[in-house]
Amino acid sequence: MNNFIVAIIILAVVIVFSVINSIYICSVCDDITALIDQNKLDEAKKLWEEKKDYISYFVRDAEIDVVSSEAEAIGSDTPIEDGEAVGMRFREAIGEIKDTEEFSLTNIF
Amino acid sequence: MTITVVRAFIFYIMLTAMMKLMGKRQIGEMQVSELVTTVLLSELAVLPVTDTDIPILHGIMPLLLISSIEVIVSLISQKSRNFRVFLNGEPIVLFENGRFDEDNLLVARISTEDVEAQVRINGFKDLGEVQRVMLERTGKMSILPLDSEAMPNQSGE
Repeated sequence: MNNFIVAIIILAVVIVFSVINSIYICSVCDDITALIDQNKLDEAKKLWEEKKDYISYFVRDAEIDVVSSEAEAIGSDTPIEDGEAVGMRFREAIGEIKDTEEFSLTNIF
Repeated sequence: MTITVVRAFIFYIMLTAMMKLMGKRQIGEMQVSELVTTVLLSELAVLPVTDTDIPILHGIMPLLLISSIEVIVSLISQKSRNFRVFLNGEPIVLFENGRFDEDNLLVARISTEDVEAQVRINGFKDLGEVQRVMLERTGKMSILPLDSEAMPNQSGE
C-alpha cells in the first residue's frame, strides 16, 4: 500500500509539473513574441536571455541554439530594415518552441 | 562524454529505484503490463543517455509516469478480478482428454508441436500420459498428468 501511495504522489507531481511547465514556457514564448511584434527586439532578447537557462531543461538543445543564434543577431547597430528580418526569424524560432510545448492534438499525434 | 556517463549513472539510480517501487518479478513471471513497462523503461532510458541534445527530464518524467502507472495498475488488478482478466487474460486449455482445443491454440498462436514439445520437456513420453495442458497467464504451460501418481518432475519451463 505504501508503494501505491508513493506512486499516486509521483503521478500527481509529474502531471502537475508537466502541465504547469508547458503553460509557463508557452506564456514566456507569448511574451517574447508580443515584444517582437511591438518592435521591442532588445527587450525580447533580454527576456530570452533571462529565461533561456530554465527553458533549456525542457527543450532540445538544437531548438535553444536556433533561438539563441537569432537573438544574438539582435543588436543596437542592426539597421531598421535588417531588424525586421531578424525579428521575424527570432519570432519564428520562438514559435517553434511554443509549438513543441503547446498541448494540442496535433502535437500528441 | 562526461555528460553521458553522468546521465547513465542518474538513469541507473532512477531505474533501480523505480524497479524497487514496482517490485519486479522475474522475466518469466511477468504479466503483460509489466513486460510493456519494462520494455518502455529501457527504451526511455537509452535515448537521453546517448543523445545529449535531449534534456534529461524528457527521459525522467516519462520514466516516473510509467513506473507509477504500473504500480497503480498492479494494485487495481490485484483488487479487481475483472480488471485482472481484462489486462492479463485467463489461463486457457490447449489440450484436454486426448484432444487439442483448436480454437484456443489459434487464440494463443501455439502449434500442436509446441504443446507436444512442452510435454516432453516436462518429462512425459507423449500426450497419452497427459490429461490437460493449460497456458497460464505468465505464458508458461502447466501440465496435468493422466495418472497423478505418475507425475514427473515438472520444471515448468
